[in-house]
Amino acid sequence: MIETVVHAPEELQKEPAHHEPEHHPASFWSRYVFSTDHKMIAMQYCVTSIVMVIVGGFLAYVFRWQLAHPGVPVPLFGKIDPNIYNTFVTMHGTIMIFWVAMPLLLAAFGNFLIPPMIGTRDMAFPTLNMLSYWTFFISTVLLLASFFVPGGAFGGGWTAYPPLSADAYARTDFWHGLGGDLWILAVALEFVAFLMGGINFLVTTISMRAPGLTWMRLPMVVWMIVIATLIFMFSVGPLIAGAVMLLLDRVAGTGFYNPATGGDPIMFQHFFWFFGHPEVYVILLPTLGFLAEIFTTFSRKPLFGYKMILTSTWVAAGLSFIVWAHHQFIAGIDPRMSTFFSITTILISVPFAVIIFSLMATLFQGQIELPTPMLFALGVVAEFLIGGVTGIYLGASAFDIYAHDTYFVVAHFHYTLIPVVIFGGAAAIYYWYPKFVGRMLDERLGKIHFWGTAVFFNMIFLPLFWTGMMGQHRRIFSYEAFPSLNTPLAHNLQVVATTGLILMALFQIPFLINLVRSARHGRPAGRNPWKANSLEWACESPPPHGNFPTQPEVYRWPYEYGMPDSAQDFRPQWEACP
Amino acid sequence: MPPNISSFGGELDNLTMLITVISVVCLILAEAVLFYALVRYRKHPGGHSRYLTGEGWAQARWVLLPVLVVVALDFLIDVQNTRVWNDIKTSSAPSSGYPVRIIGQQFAWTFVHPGPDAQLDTPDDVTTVGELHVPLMYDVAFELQARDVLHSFWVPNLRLKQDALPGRTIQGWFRAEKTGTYDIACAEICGGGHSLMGARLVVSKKEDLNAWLASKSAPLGPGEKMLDAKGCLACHSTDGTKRVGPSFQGLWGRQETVLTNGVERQVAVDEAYVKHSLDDPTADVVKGFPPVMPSQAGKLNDEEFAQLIEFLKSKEKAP
Repeated sequence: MIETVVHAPEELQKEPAHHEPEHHPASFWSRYVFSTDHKMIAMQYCVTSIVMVIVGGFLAYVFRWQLAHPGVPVPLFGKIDPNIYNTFVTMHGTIMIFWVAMPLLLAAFGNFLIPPMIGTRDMAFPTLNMLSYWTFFISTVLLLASFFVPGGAFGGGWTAYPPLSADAYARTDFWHGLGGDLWILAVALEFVAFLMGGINFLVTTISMRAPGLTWMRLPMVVWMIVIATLIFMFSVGPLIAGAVMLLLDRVAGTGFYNPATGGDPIMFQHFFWFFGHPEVYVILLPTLGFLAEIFTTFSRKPLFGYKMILTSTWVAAGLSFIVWAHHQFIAGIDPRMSTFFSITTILISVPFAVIIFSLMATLFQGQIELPTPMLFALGVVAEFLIGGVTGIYLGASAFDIYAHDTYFVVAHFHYTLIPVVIFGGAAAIYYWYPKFVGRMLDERLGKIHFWGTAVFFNMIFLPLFWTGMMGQHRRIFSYEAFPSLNTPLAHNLQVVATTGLILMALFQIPFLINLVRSARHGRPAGRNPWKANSLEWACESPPPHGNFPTQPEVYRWPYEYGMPDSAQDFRPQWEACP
Repeated sequence: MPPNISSFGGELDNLTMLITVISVVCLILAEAVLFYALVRYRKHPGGHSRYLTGEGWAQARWVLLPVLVVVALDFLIDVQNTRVWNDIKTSSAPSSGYPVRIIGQQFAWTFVHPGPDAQLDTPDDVTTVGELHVPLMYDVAFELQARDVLHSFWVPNLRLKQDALPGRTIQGWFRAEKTGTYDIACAEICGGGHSLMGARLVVSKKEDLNAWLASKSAPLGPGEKMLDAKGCLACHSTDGTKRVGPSFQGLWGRQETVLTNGVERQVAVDEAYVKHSLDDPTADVVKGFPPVMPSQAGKLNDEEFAQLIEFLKSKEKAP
């Protein structure tokens, strides 16, 4: 273990002890809109992603209604045709990954957590941080605007494979309008925003940790966000390059992906998935970090295998760069390559097995409490296991010949993403809301939210494993053209899934009510409502601008729970030795 | 999974079964351990948790030994998978196989069968749309192509799926071991008519296949040849059969009911209408057909357009 003590930059230590809010003029605009405070920026990311999850969820409701009740006008929307269907499927995927998962888990919680958890006042570059959010905001506006341009939003699948997406020469004219161009611009801008945010995360964590907070005393969630940021930065370059070439193919008539001019459509798939697979772990790692914090707090036990988890995460991060072609087994790549990618893909289950088993071992011989954040955190593990084992199916290239682009794949990745994003995001919100709002969320509404979400999530996606096994392929408006796939059983399963979706959506209403109501009427949280150890719990709730009145010092790692020699079952990082 | 009809599908199904057994057992065990912990170690008054950090083998083995089991099972799956994969995809198509060409386009499948000479690209080839006929118990060596965007040739009963790429010919093979008619689908999003891209695979005995081929072979006229090359005939038949788009037979001069911006109106099919429908196919859509035709603006030169009009005139009356 490296025990170098890293001191905070001198500037920080010379700061006067008190940072009064009046140093920062608190007009509405500077406080809530063009704020450079990391907490406000986190809040902006969080609120934007909640708005976008509602948009993305509504799109899912519209196209799932069509699958369950083909041809029947969708309540609250109206009649849809195959082009609208494709558009909604595409935008649902785009929004949920790029405008919900990443901004919520990485941008919002990275911003919320890093400064107070490492004991500093703010991000290293607050103005860059503000710029990051507003760049993201512009990308959001561009994306939403694309629904209203002539020809509608982009509908070529969220993976945007050319030649369909490069319609300058393929002449798929329904999407010839601005929609596709706006889609590419919005995605590229969003990555610029996250790159700016990521630079902040890295610089802040490397250079601004409180005295005594060595790397091996860093809370696991900060490690996870840092590693996720690194994965993102190393993988995003090829995709941005690929997207620029796609844009040029569309608007300037170049032929990077046009075989007639010597281009290659598969090249884009490589660019996309070289980013796309690491991206999965960019989303997964922050949630694994949340679990480490929440499991230890509510089982009153140290994190089991800190170093094992950390090492495994680095191994998984490395492996994530050499698995991408498992999305392309049957795309026309050399079949011999698939053997390699199949083996690396199945191999990646090993580091994640270490992490998940270590988290489960953290529960053993603990004193487990089950408030809402813990329920959602446990929900992540219980459901993600299903996503994990079905990943083994699809990693096997031979089975993938059958399952590729069927509902089996759809069900599989929703079993990885929904636990990670929806359950993980909810767990984190329930856990840290008291800190950042200053009041507790209502437990009763929280439990209604949890059980409704957990039950109906399974009701949506378990049937879809089945329809996938029956051979139903995805992104299909109507199965009428395929009699053997259009069976009454398959149709009934689709009806069950759609009903599950509507019910799960209804059970998000208590959550929204809870978020709004508790901000005013919740029980005051106090500094450390969960009796946790990491540094953010040393701040007031909510932390003032600047977080800490004086520079805190760190004396130990953040998982000192249930020590054998002590009556108190926790010892915070900031308390000097008794 | 639907009944398997291919020679390699059985192996694929066995692999699926192997993975299912392994993963279901592992999943149940893991969930059981999780729920056991939740029940057994719930907080009780006066209880004290145990300080376990997972450092050192004595503690870490509780995680690492189960992980070793995972590694072993992964290895088993890898070995089986590589074998099955190689059988299906890397063993090259048998040169003595029955050759067919499969062409995907928006939004139909075209199939080229060899005539009696068992060779492609000879005058006796038989081209069909929406129906692929193959002989029972023969290795079928297919060439897969796409005319415009990506498509994916998907036959659930064969356990076969392969993307088709414009500008490339992908070789592959299968062997059907049961007669019957099976669904062919497109499994890669290819545009607004993606879900219309269905076709049938007909597996029949070699004698029956030959009889069917003999009944089909009729040489194409010059206009028809041009339309075939442009891909028009995949959606528009010349004999009155209803496909994705209206048939060319009897089309010329007819009063059609079309939808213009959702409003029905009557249009006479003449040169102006045909020209407009090529450039902007979704402007006036014939009632009863989906609005999915890609624009053909600039794809036909004047001479080819004249040929098309000539051809439509020749098909004005039913034969």
